[in-house]
Amino acid sequence: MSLINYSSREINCKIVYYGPGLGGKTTNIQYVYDRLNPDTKGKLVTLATEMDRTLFFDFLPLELGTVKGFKTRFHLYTVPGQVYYNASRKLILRGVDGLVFVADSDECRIDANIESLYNLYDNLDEHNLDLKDIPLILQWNKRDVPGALPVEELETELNPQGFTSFEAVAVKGTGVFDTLKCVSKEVLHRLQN
Amino acid sequence: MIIQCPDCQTRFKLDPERVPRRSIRVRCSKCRYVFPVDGSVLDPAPEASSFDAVEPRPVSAPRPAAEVDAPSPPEFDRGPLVDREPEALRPPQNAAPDGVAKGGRSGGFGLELERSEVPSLATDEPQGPTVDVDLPAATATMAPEVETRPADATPAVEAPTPVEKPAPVQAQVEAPEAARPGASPGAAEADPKLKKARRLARALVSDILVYNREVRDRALVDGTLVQALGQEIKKSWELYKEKVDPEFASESNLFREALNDILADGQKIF
Repeated sequence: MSLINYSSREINCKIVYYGPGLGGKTTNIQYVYDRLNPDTKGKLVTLATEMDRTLFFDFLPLELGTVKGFKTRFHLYTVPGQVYYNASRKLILRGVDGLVFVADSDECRIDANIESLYNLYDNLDEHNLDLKDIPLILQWNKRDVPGALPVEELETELNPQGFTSFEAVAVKGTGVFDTLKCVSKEVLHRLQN
Repeated sequence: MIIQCPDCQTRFKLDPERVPRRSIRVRCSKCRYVFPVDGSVLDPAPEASSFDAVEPRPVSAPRPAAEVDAPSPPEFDRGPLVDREPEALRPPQNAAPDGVAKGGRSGGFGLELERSEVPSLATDEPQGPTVDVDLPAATATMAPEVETRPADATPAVEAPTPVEKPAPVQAQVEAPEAARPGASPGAAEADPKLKKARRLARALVSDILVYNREVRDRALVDGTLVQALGQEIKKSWELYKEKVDPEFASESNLFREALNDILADGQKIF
């Protein structure tokens, strides 16, 4: 749930980028961070632990409009994507307001995509969170890799529910802000209701 | 196409349409011997159209007995699937010359397609080093499975596994340009537990690959894959066992298949 800071009159919303390892979650957030007005963004925090793995989360506040007189501050997080870092993922999911699932279009990662998505559902269940309350946007990243799976196949495998999805090449920024704007809008929409 | 049982030499006609591009295993209903058929080396076109002209060709060298006796996923024990796709393996009306088995309880020709795409086990590969990760041993756990089937001298047909719903994974197998390692129609599609375990195994192994791609590529060339990534493999194997339950993990061959398919790039190293 969003945290409301009455003294600063801010609503803090947490958006988590989920997905398999090396799928482009960090690239998404880094791209956003690099293009934001320095006055509106906080510090980008990266945590790297254990065997030089890319185990980290990022933190990025991003102000967008107001809701009932309260400014909204978005906190963007990534999770470690590798299968065996589930404890961290579960922890980071706590209090999530919006989700972006960054899928890797590389065909060799289809099982990792599916596993990660199921893992997301499991972890949401453990937090008693429901996708009816939390917007989930899917992003088909790495559309430029040779042999990328067709979007139709990704949709079939990963998105039978028909969540909003975007194609992306995060390293080039393609689709990155589209995804973020969509999830932000969904989060704000729920806040207003 | 014509394939021949390496044990009893009986020949069978196999509809090439039903053979995925990757290896499958078939069971001779005459002698119950299980042997691999490599779909990728078969050229179905001429054989399918001209039965009489076909000589049995070596589609795949007979494998060592222990390898053939690889542990089978549990659902292999299910009954014949002939009712679900009976026409798939039915021989043509005129297909029964010299020594080619025909007939059978469903008008078939005596082959049972095993629902497993990669039959090898590392410990059986003479050249394959064995990684010290406590992987399932290549014991003859298939033997009881074979024996549970009623001894049936009459050739019979069992169709290859029809998936419960058409999965893109299977579609890829049929589409050459989209085929991905190990994505063959098979046991994992039929049983949710197996499907889940297979997916987890492949996800874990592909994690190893993407995080160590350069090391993998180099080690694959040098023949040092096991040594180079042994620790990673062991770690993933331990997690896999924990998640799918150790007994099932050891009995099934899914993790090893994933290693060979993904990490060894289709080679049977593990």
